[in-house]
Amino acid sequence: MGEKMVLKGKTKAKGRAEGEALVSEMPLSWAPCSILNNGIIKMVGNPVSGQNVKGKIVVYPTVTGSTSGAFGLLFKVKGSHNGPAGIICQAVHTIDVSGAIASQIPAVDGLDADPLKAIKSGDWVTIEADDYGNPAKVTVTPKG
Amino acid sequence: MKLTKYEQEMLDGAHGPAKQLAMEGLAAFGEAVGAEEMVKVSFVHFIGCVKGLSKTSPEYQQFEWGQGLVMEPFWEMGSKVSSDPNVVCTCDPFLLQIDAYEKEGTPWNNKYFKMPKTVYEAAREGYKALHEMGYLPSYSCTPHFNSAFPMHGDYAACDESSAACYLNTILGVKTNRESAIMAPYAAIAGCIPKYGMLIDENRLPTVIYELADEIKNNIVDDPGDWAALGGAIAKRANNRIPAVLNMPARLRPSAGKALTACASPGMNDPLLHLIGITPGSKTLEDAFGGKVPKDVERIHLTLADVKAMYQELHTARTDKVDIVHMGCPLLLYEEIHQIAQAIEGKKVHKDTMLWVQTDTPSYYMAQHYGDAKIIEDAGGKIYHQTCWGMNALSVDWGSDFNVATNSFKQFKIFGGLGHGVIFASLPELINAAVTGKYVSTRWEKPLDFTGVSYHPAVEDVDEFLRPAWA
Repeated sequence: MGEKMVLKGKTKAKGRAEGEALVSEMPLSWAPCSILNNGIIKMVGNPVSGQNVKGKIVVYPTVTGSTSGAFGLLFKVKGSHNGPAGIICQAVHTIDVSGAIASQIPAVDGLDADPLKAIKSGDWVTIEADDYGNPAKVTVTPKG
Repeated sequence: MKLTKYEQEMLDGAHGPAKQLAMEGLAAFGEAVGAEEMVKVSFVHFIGCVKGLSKTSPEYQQFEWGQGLVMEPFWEMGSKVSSDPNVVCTCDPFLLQIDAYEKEGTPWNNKYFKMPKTVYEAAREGYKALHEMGYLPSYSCTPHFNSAFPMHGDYAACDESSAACYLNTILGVKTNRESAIMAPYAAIAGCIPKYGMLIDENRLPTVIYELADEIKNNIVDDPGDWAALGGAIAKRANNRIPAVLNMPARLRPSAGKALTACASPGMNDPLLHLIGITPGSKTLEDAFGGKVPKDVERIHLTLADVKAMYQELHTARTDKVDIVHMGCPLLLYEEIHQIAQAIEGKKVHKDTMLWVQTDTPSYYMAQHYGDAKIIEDAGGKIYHQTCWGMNALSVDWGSDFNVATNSFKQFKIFGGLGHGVIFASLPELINAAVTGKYVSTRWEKPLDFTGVSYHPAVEDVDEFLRPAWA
């Protein structure tokens, strides 16, 4: 087990969550054609295609594509119950801000380290994002 | 956030539970994005939706994209969109032309996909539900052409990214690529938090494109060329807002439509300052609101960059064309007329489907003036209220077919589903429909695709590396 790392960031949607990290180096869309309602990523050309987001802390640069990613995220969390536990981006786009708020999961960006480099798939990640004014806390425990 | 008296009353429930629910959502979002106030919208554009599909059916997992979770509470309350007569609410193309469910050879009834009856019924109920709420049933990704007419300086909440870019770039309307949760709330409440593209200082350009003279001298009146130019711009935009110099002095609506559709898959901020064309951006200085900063990157584009898009937007491994898809974004009547003239007297190849998609007003014009008959007599299909992609995104059609298109957006949105895509000019598309094969004729020498890598088609820029839609 590697050493725990604590990062500070900005709260883009309030909440607390923990889970295993799934890191996509390419932008993601929560639209149901890109991440299916069963939680499986289907994006030809993206190395994480085929993996499942369910219960994960999903880390990606920012949104791509459809505005329907907003209710796509909502449906996966509250409708089919195959959604992520929380999201961390380099920049959380407002499409995903609204999706996360409606889904009642935390969304964080502006970390003091690039999340795509600091977090690896399989790491255990805890998010504490309690209000918009104060820094969000992200704790990363590297995979053993 | 500072609210007006009426907005506060809506939030407090004084104007009913629907407005309260909408305002709660808008206020929470406004707080998250740091908005200081709401603005009144004059135009809201949402997405179609199914209603009443059994939640235990496999079709529910395919065709319910999440709209239901947002809309069901409002349907239960019998809610209407804002009664403010200055607010027009429209919706995007959805699953099918509702009076033509049985028609064969259409995107919803063909050799790759046959829409289940339950889905058709749920789509019909969804169309009805939006209409009953007070949505203008545009079922168009270009509602600004024939259905709704927001004006320069108006605020809008537009879920259709390509329409959002046309509104910002050509009409001078202010809109984000609005979250598909917030737009239906805005439709009920008539307002939206002032954030992003609604704030003037966020609309300033951050990169300059200099187009070589040869672009305006050689680009032809073909959506393919304009879409290729849009693609060449989006490819290098990297989520910055472009100011584009040396545009042709005049821009037809069809050209502007094809050009601005690049924003949908290419840029998160749906705005191009086309210098001399975009309202408020008569000069580069105007676009920047005064002095042009010295450190802004300048990108020089030549005709070779436009031509390169024809080559890069190509993932088909053979020259066989199974579907010729025209109308992304939906065709204007003048474009249908152009297609009808080109296909008149010819026959579509027996193994190829020609799909011509448009909005409802243009569809009926084409019926009235004979263009639709010419296209159908040739073996093509013309339809309205829908876009091919809505079904292809919902259900796996397999990957053993090739689609030819003159839309950059279509390539980027649907290109990741697995089938082969060929980007082509209008004459090349007509030829492909008739012969069943793609032949490269747009440029002086046929394009060579042997060195092109497949899926993802464009590997040099991260922004291009994944599919996206709407």
